[in-house]
Amino acid sequence: MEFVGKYIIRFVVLMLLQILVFNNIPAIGMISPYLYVAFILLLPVSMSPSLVLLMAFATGFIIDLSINSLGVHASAMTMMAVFRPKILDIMAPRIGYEANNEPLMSVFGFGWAARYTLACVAIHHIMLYFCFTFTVENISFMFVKVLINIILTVLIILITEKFVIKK
Amino acid sequence: MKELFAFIEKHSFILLFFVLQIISFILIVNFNEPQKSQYGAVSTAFQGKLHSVTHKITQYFYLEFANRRLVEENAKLYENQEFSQYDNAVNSSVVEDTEYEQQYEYIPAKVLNNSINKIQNFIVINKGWKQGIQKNMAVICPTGIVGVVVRTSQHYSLIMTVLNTNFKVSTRFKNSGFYGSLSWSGQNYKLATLEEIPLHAVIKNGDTLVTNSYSNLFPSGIMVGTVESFYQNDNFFSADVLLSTDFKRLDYVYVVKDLFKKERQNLEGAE
Repeated sequence: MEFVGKYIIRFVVLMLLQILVFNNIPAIGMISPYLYVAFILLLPVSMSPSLVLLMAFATGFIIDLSINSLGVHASAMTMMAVFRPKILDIMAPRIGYEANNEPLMSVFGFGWAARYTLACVAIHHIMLYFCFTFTVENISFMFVKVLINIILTVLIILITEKFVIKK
Repeated sequence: MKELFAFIEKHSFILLFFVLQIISFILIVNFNEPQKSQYGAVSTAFQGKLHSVTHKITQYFYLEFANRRLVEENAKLYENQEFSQYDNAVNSSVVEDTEYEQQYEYIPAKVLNNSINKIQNFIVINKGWKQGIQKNMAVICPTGIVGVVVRTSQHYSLIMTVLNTNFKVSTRFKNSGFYGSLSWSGQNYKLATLEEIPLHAVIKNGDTLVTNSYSNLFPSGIMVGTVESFYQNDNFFSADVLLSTDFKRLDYVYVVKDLFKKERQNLEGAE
């Protein structure tokens, strides 16, 4: 129960941060980091992929409700969640994951966390911008924008992990 | 059914993913204006493409039916064609004018029978005395002279063409006005012989020959042919004339009705 409570608190805090702070950055349109994806990223490794998928969809849906973009974040989040087990598989340590392992920087180190976060956030953001535009026009401009936001989001997530979320 | 459930259970993760993505997609295109219009444009184009492809495929299966229908329709059209029916009408147009008085009327007719390889060649046309065709009327076609009516029945007429050794017509050079008598030697359906050209006439190859009005047969100035070659024959020039009418491809001809013929005949006969 204590275990579930930790995630509920983390979920609420991340959502509030995203909705109240990061969605209201003045340079909106160009810079919009999405910290809330960290909630799905940091779920336990052994958690059922289908459950993660549903939670990812729900998380995205709530964000969509808050910024009136129904379906966009939900789609990006499910896309990210479907690749998450694969990424974890590829990045598994030589001895494999232990039960109740969380994909945290404090557990696997900074390099591992950076690569893992980057992979997941990249999938999420690319899908997100595709859902926002629905075209492949202005692809070079979109590429720059997506790249900036991926770096920004990854940095913020890593900083949060480093200083806030401890084991 | 059992296999279906097993399949769903085995791939539940991926299936769930697709279900969620489809839900997201439906939400996006229903609640987001830019995406909605984008989707609308793409889906319209896709529907158009799909429709044209399915139309092409289904059309193929209707081909046999369409073919049968076309054949029936064709048969009906053939029945309505001119060559299936006898034309009673005389489609001559008469110009009403006080300054010019109509001298010639043209009765269009279709060539039914044609020959070019005999010594005496005749053609049969589908107009007879019922349409006002009489003996000794001239027959022309858009490219030149054809012949003269020799016999008529109620619905048909027999025409002696230029390609007949008995046929003779007076022609003149269009540019110089010298005249000669044109006849056919009975050999080449393209060539006729022009005789009795005076020696002082200036002629050269390629000169155009037209009918003149001496013969009381053809209207003046109808194209006959061009000079192919010429040579001296006793006290006259003779010329081979390339006929402008292609007798191998005669289709429609006009019978020329001279409204003043009787008047001129009476006058000339009285002389």
